[in-house]
Amino acid sequence: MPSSALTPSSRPPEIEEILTTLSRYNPETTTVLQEYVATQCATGSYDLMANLALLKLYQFNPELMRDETVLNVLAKSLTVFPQPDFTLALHLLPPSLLHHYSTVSVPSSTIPLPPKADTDDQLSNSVHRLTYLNSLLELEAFPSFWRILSSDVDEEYADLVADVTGFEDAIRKGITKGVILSMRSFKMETGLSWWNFTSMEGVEQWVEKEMPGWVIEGDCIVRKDEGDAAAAVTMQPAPGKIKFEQFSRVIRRVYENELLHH
Amino acid sequence: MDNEQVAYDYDDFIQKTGDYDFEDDEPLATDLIDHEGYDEEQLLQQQQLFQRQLQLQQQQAVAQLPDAVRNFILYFHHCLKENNVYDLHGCYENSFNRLTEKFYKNTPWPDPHGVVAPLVNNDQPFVTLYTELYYRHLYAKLQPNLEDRFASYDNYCIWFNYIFDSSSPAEMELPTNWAWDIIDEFIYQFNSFALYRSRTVRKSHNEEEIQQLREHPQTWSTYTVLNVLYSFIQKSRMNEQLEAIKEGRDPDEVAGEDGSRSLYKTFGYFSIIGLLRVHTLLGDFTLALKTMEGIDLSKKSKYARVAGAQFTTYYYVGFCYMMMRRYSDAIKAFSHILLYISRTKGFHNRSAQYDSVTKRSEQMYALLAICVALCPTRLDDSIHTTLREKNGEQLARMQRGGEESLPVFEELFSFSCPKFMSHGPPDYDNPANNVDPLQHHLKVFMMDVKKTMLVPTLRSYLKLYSTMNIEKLATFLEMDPEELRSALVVFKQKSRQVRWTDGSLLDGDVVNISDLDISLEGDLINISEAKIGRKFGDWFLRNTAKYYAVQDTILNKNPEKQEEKEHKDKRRERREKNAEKKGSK
Repeated sequence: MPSSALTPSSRPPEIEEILTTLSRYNPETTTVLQEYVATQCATGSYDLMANLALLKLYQFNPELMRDETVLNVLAKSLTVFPQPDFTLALHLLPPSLLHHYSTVSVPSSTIPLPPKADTDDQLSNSVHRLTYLNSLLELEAFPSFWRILSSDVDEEYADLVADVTGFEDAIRKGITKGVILSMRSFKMETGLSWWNFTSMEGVEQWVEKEMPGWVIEGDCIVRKDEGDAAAAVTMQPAPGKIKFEQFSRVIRRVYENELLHH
Repeated sequence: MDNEQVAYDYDDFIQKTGDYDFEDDEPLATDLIDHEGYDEEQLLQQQQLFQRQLQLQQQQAVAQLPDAVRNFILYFHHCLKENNVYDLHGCYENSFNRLTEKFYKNTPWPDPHGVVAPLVNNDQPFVTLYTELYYRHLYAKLQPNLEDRFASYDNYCIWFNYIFDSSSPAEMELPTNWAWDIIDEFIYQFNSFALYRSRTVRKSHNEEEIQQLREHPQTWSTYTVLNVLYSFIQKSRMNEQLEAIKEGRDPDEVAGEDGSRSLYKTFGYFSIIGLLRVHTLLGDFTLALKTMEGIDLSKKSKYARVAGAQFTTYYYVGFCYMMMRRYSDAIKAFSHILLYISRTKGFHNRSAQYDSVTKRSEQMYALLAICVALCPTRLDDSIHTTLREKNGEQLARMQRGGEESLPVFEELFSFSCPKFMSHGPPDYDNPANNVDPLQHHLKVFMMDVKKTMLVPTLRSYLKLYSTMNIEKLATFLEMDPEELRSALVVFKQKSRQVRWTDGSLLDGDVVNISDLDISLEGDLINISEAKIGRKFGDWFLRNTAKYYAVQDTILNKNPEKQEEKEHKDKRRERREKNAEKKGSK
């Protein structure tokens, strides 16, 4: 984890104080951290350590747990995929919440179907939904992700991320990172479906704004500078040097044998 | 649990930890134990009767005490009084285990209060320490019941009160490894109690025990345990001391009066490792590693001599890294300690902890197998050989990927993970809500694993080509080309991992950890492989040494055995000398 993620510059001093002292165990700080989650949702900032500290307070004081905040923390952590933040948050939730979670996988496809809601617990169902969204993101199954999110059949998906301002653009940025990492060029169509724009214009604007060094050539988006994706066969030469000391055992052996024979 | 109760917990916690108000007479946590109201008179009568019976029993027990045991207890007590750390170490490490083998293999040691206390004039510190040993032995060799668990907890409270009470710590010193064992056992029993409690609620219908558990929510509570560990760290100013060491200053400058005492220093340091463990048990892997901020694993610390502490540190650090998907850091941690264990095998063979070391290292090999399957890495040769011997078949199945590999991941994870626990008391009224925390963490972990199922297959195909078309590969794999495009991005992303370079354990930079790299150009996959050349020189030298060893075996002269014999002779001499010295005293 780069240290900027551990202590984001947007973190106010009072939160820093809570996180670095024993007040992180003080149930009274719950409200402060809850408000901080709301701030993160509103302003687009993000602070993993503070959010995990809040979940820990919930773990210690289950009666203080606010469903809405738990879900917001999870929704926020979706925006930094493919970092493991979502998973780290899940580990701190009450075990009963995920107890019924299971996805059905389709043969010949890597993309699982949505989880079945087989519990009456509202929170548990919502956590299942967010977990499913997280799976789609981490499988880079973006067309499915957007389809589920905008589904008319199950509107709750959209509701769950509604509190997070700029959720869609944050996800697009995450997708863009993966694209920049692994591609030298790709089709406009791919951009359209992965970023979920309604028109090619949207794609064009996005490339211009978010992908410096990339240009649109015909129906392709092409990298002009060589970055991470540059792939060339690299052969590390075998280190051929051996230190003289490494032969000590061999030399001693020869010497001893000489002694034995005489 | 109602609100007020919780606030009380925390107030108590903060009062004791934050301000360390240990000076007043109020005991640390024993005051949390409820006292039930009885009919006074009836109680008195019962007590008298009980006392008389007890006295008789005690007299008998004292009379029956084997001479060796009686002498040992007296000598042990003497050493503690004299603050003779060297001989205390001998009593603790050798005599106690020897006598256990001889007299108490399947039975508890003599009762601390009934039998041992009268022998040593009720010397409280000694009786408390002895009681700790008594219960530790009971936990290890027999089945502790609920009463034992409560009593052992009370004894820890007494002991911690004693050392936190600034008027008493005197100049008491304990051997370093004993201090570690106390912290280690304290957390073990805390963990064990939580598991026992949830098992009782889930499976047994022992109403009486459930009732007792309900009435004592504070016994072995997480707050108490955290309280003790944080108190040690703060009282010894251990984080400040570690900071000073890092900056090359003298830690005693910042240690303060308490922190410069060796007893506090050791307990303070080990409490940090204790916290690492407690946070991991509760599923907070980030906080666990954050707790270790001050400790620089790449530098040798003087506590590194306590092998148990080393094993624990690396096991939990490695495990936390694995859960944060930092597999290459996890592999580094496991390899480091496993190499250390295999090099010092000779010592552990003789120690009392041999079994637990063996178990721990098997767990770490299993975790290593998981990490290597998720993040193909070249291991140290000897570690690699042992891994293939121990988990070779499982590793091969995991590396093949696909649905069939999932049960192997599950099996190895369940075998080698820490004994996860829930924070608070279980839900007594709705037993169905009490899901085994292991199942929870396993499920979340498996979600991660499932997302990488296709990676090994992709890898095996990509290795064969330098360029390839997505359509073509999709036909081979019988999957949709667009899904494959996504899978390739997943593949690429999995090859980037945060890895530690310096700073605290949580720090790190994103690096490429794979030898296979791809980039997509439209529908074309460009593939490159970084081949690491073999170190031929090393290989030949190592095998020359092996050949010598074989030659020696054939000629039936084993120089290593010879060395070991000389070593043993020397140690015997030293022992005899010591015995003489003692005799002349």
